[in-house]
Amino acid sequence: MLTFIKQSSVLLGITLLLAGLLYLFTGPVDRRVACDQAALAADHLCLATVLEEYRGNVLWVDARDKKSYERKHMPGAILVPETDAENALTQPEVMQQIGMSGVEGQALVIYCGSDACGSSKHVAEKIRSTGFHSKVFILHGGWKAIDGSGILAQKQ
Amino acid sequence: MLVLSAAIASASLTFESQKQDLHVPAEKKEMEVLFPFKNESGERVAIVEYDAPCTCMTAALKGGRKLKTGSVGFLDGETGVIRGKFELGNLKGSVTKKIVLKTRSESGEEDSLSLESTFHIPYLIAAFPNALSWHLGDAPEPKVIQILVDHDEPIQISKVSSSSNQISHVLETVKPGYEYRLTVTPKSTDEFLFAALRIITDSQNPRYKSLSTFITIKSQQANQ
Repeated sequence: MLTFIKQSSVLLGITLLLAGLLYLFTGPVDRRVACDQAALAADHLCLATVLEEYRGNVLWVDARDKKSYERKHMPGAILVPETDAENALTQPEVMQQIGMSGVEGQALVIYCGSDACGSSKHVAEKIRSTGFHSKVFILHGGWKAIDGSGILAQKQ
Repeated sequence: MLVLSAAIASASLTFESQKQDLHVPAEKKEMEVLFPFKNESGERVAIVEYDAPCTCMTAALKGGRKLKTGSVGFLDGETGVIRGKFELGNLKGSVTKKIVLKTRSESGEEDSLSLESTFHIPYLIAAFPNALSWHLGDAPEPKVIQILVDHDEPIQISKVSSSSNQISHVLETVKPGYEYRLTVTPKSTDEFLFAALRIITDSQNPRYKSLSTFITIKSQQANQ
């Protein structure tokens, strides 16, 4: 038993050492989401486009569930979860922010978990159907793009 | 030789169908969708990664085996079922959700599969149109929203409330439990407005307990 523990500890130590050396040589894993704005649909935006062309001056809409939003979200983002979008859109603070952004000509950018989640598309359709705001975009890559870009770490 | 090459080239699991259309009963809060498959690749295939990108969708293997990445392998000829569970919340209408799988065969071939489910959740009660708008400076004339119930059982409207005192509304019953008319009139169109009318029903199902329509006064410009 003792021999087993010793051998396992040695193996674990070697593995950790190799992993550390690999990290030193290659650096952290690149988690950025690749995005070509020219290849996207007209209502989709790359994170880089939002940050550079819009200078980040957009109203962020989080289409994930409440737990994910509370764990972490874009600063200033309003929560409009897909599974309860209609009710969320009638909340006074949400209506006020969407209304203000519409009057001021600010774009709305909606994100969900990733590109394949579909929630941001559904929420975008709901917001457009209210008839007030037409500058409604979907973030390519969703939260994965935000998290992988490191911008939230920079803001902290 | 060609047949052998084709067999080796396929690193994937063969699904009976990668797309499903499901009609959801009105009272359901969640739906299960099953994707049966068989390994016909000629070699062992492992599921190395899976993602149900929406937090409202989870994926697992039916039959008790957990869908752990890297450790779930299927021998040639072996069958399995991917089970997706979708939390419906208060959604209505048609919603498409995906489960994405990445597989790797023993020979190192990789493949990516998308399992797509479209859920059709009935609108038992709906407003037509869903939104009314006026432009700044328009005559503040009344407009009408028709509310229709498409259900065997009647749904009564018990209350209509407005988020703004800049509009007035009058509810008429055309056919109790099945058809209503909501006439909306802005007091003035001098200022922008983004408001909601919340219609409360007597339905015991939270999905149909309320519906909302939106009222806007906007400029003629592109953003609105």
